[in-house]
Amino acid sequence: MPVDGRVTGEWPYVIASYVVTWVVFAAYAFHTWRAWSEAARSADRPEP
Amino acid sequence: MSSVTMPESRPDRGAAAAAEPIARPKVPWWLVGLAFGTLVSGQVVGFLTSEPDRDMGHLQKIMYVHVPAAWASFIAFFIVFWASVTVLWKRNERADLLNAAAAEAGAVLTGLTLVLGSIWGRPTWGVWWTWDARLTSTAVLFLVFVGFLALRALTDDPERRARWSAAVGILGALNVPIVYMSVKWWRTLHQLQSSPSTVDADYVLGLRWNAFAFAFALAAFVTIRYRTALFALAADRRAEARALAGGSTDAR
Repeated sequence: MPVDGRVTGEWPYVIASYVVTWVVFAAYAFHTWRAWSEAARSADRPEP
Repeated sequence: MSSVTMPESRPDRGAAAAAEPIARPKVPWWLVGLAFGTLVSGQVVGFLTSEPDRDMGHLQKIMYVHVPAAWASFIAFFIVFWASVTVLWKRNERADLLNAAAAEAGAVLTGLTLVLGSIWGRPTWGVWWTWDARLTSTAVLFLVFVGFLALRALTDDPERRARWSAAVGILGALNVPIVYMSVKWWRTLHQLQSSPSTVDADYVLGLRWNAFAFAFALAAFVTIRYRTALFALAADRRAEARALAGGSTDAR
């Protein structure tokens, strides 16, 4: 909370923002990789 | 409106498509490496070069992820706008796949922008959320693109899916200038737009570096999602062509 106009106790919020950013990027990268590997698997499927 | 006739879906290509081998979708590793490298180094540069802000202290460092995420989402929605117009105007199938890839990445980045803004708002404004013009218009933008993705997931007919999602894409992208200008058009709790010309000189390098990092990450995600979708479409066509070829053999 602000003390004399200056915010204090800011580090938990700063750390949380960077952690959230990396978690979102990692989750989206995983989702992208899963779609890619699914597609790559179907390329390898032999002709019936 | 006439139907979309995509070049790849012409029936005369059926026999050739059944036999065509499909190359695996290529991952642009150089772009992935560039995005990862600039993201890590950009955050290190941001932490090392910026002094605590007079009023916000170290909370200012949230700017290096919040603002670039918002800018990158705007780039994504610019791509959506261009691709949507191309789909409606030229009936281009590849533009439809690019549209979906950019909209998905844009929705992820807009969601991230909202969450980061909320984390920044709590210690500075005292609330996680308020119905401020900037926050509300960004939330509307996010919901429009969640709707875009839901619409694509629920529509089976590819031609209808392409047309409808292009219409929603244009509608959503038109919201971007409203989001950007909301802090000037209405009296808001949110500060004016942050840019290298409006922030302290100490913060310019970190802001620019991270803006490029997020843009590279966006480019990497959109490229991979687009190539994957293109490949999946080719694989579907081949399976369809093989089924048709098998059916005609059985009929003889």
